[in-house]
Amino acid sequence: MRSPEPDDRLDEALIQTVASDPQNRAGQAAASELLGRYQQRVYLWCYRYVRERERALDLAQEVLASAWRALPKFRHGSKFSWWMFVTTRNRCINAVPAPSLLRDDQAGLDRLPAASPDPAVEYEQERDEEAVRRLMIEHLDEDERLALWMGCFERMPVEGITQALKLANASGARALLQRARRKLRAALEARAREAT
Amino acid sequence: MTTRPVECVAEDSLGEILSLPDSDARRAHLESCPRCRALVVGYRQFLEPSREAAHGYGTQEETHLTAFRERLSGAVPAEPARVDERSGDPRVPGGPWWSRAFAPPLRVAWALVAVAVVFGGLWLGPRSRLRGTEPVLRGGTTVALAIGEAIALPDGGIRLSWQPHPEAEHYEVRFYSTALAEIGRRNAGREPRVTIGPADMPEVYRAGNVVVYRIAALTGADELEVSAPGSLQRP
Repeated sequence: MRSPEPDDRLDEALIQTVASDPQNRAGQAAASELLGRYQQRVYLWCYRYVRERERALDLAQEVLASAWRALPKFRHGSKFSWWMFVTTRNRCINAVPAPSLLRDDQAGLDRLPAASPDPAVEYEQERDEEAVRRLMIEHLDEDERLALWMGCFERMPVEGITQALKLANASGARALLQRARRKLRAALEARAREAT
Repeated sequence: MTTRPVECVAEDSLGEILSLPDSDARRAHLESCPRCRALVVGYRQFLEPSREAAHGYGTQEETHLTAFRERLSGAVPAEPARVDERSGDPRVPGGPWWSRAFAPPLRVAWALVAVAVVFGGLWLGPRSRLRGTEPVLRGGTTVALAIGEAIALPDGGIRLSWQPHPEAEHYEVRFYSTALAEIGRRNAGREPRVTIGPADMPEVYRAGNVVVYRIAALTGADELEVSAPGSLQRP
């Protein structure tokens, strides 16, 4: 079962119909048609996050309802497919807890607590997105950056990262995440030493 | 490795940057910045889910979300979903679809539904019984009939192609306005392709406006499948 092929022109035509009169039958039908073109994609993205059918259906419904309400205000000129992705992605991110940036939560305690203040802990607490982004660019390679960002800020589960990076299996994504976390932690500790 | 950090872009703007040529400097940022690259990779995955991922979406999920969408639009009263007679897949428990469809209390409801909206989730028997009512285009994401490339010809006509349906005896091209009201049909013959001359294209297309179309696979007068919609605009 496949979604219809992306068609920006059709999306735009339907959006204009919605915008012309969102309350009349044609506007409602256009809105329904437009969301119908994306409902499979929305569901699959939600499933990627929650990994359970019933929760994915609930989340997909929330996304569709949210998109339905916001459609009449959609800003023309930008791609509807992008807007639909961002709407879905934002709802999914809010639906799952934020994983640790520097610890693999699934690996358990892998080091003893440091005797002196741990710069990684402070960093973790602040979670300054811009600071993290700059640190990643400085110290990680492209795939490491992507995997860690997707895991920690996009809150994508390991299986989702595996699919996104087209890795052969989940252990590939996990190894990438561990390496990235190790390098980031080392960079933070080096920075803390320089500061003292 | 050291790289001077660059300024990031807002989410709203990212979508527009994707439309820029590869040589644009802003496109280069998308590759180096983890935040932007994650969004772009995510977007591409969202648009084109992998074959493995797509297996997680089947008839039940489609029916569920389509029914939810219909409730959002308020277009259809709470009706039981139809039974697909051909597949023998009972989508509602208890009783064949035709007994439900033609029970007297439902006839008025069906008439209202036929006028207001004819949606893919509600099968009302052979489509020929609905000829003459005002069909309204609605969402369809589950059909196997996939449209191919639509080519606008220099003389103002179009060439369409689609995946063949194994049981189709002939095909029909259906045109709709952007308000999703049907504005015309053209017989497309037995082959999964057709060239339509300018004189046979809808007036709105000849005027340079966007036209929506779908392909219907037919056997006799009965409709087997209808494709998802595509759009056409004269260059």
